[in-house]
Amino acid sequence: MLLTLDFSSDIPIYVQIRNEIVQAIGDGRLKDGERLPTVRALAAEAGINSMTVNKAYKMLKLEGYIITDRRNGAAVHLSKNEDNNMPEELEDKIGLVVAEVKAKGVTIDRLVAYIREIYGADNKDKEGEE
Amino acid sequence: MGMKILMGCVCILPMMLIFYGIMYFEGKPKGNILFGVTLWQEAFEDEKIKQMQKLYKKRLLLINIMTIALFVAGCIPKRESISMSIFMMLILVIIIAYFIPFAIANRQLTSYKLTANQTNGTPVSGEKIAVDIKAVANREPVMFKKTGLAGMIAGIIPVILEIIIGTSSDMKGYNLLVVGVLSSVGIIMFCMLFVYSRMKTDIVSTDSAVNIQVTRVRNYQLSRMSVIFIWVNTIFTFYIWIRMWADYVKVTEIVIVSLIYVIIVMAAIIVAQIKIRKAEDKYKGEYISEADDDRYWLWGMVYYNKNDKSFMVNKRTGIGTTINMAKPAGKIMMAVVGIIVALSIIGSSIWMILLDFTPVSLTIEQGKLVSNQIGNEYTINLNAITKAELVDELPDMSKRVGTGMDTLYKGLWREKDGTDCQVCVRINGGCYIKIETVSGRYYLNDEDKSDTKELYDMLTDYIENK
Repeated sequence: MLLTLDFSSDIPIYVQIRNEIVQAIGDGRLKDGERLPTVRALAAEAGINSMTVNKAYKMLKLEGYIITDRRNGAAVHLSKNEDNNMPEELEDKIGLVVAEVKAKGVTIDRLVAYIREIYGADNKDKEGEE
Repeated sequence: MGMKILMGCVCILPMMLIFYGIMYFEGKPKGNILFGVTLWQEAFEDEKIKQMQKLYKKRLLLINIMTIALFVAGCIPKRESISMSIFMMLILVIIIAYFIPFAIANRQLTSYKLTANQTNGTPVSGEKIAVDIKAVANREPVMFKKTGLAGMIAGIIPVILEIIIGTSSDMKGYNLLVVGVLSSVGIIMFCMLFVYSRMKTDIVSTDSAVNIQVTRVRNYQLSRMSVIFIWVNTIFTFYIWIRMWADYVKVTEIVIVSLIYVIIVMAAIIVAQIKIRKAEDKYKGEYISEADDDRYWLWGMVYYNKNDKSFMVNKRTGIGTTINMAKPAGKIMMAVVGIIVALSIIGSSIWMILLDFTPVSLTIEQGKLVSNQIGNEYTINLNAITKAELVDELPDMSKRVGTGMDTLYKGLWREKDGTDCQVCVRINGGCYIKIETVSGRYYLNDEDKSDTKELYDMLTDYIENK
């Protein structure tokens, strides 16, 4: 799983790390329980301050995407949402994005197709049919 | 003349070929990077970029012709010291000149990329890096640690033995310095095993398993090369230490063994780098990296990134690794190497010319025989001289410490029968005084043959009348 960081971007590096890891979890490149590098190792590899990586990991932990323990470092954690509830903190964000997409004139079919693409739902449907 | 041929065949020409070979391969694209510039996929079909590559090769050839011309010019002077000084300067020229075409190509391509991107509307970042998270999380431990440690410890044994049962007191410091320097090479190479294991992972694919495999191959090859280096260095250190005890050692023997040592080490380095390159080529497929960290590469060759804590990083083009010049250790290392190279080249050139052109004088002053050249070389009390003999030829002898130029022999030498002798003679086609004293043997003469003969007569008169 490649983490691409752009130092000339306006987005802070720790947010870039957080976003990339969340995206990788979402599209299945990072699986539940998969080990992440230690703060020091990732900082050394990316050539950034340990505090930056620490900040990103703290953010991911707080949001429930990873779990950390002192012995094994960090690992991916997929929360089981058995009630299929939309997390409250995401509702507003999604609402805003959908409104923006609608305002740009994108049809609901295109938006749904795009969401299905991100979810990998088409592939799963096809696999189910087979 | 022999020295000039040796210098040309052993040093200048191989160095020229090695630099030409390295820089020729540096001019080939590695992934989407050419001349240290990150390019877009279609760029390699661009006629202007193809033209730049051709021009780069032409410039390299021009440097080759210039180097050969300077080497031939260096062979013309009759005095060895002048030729050797020109050769020394030529080494400096080779080190710098072969990088100039690359730096020019880097500048041209960078400005072309900027123009092309502005036309296409593509933003140029130059500060984008990629990290493979899974590869970092699955880092391999240090390889060949035990074999390397054993080799390093074995390499220290001659130093310990020299301290405990060392040779005669006048040579002990010198011998200790030689074996100490050699064994320190083994220590440095052992430390490199740890540096290799901490180097950044290679990213040649979007598949982490591939990146892990390529990084593993790289670490294995580099570590194996280091261990070979450590053990060959240890054997060489033992050889040098044992030969220090020998009565008589021919210079050619030392040169041949040193050459074998260098060839084995060079072969290990080249084989390792070729295997790393092959592994990268085998696995990388059609992957084009998103990373673009051009801004951190000065002239496309020198890595300078203040934010990066890594000391060693993979080179962008060609093969091998390079150091981060923004790190204090990188700066210190380059400054030390630069000062050593500049001082040794300039200093040794001046020293050789001084040795060659400063006359040798032999006089008798206040009951003492005094031999002078750059400084006062030897002062022998006439009463201590037991025998003096005028010889036309010097005996077969090998240098232990000192100078062995075409025109001057100076310092501590050892004759074939194992006798140590102090020498300060101008090689002028005959006329040397062999002097036996209570403390040892000397070979001395004066710049002028007639003065040497005159002095010899005075000496024999003194010994007969004593």
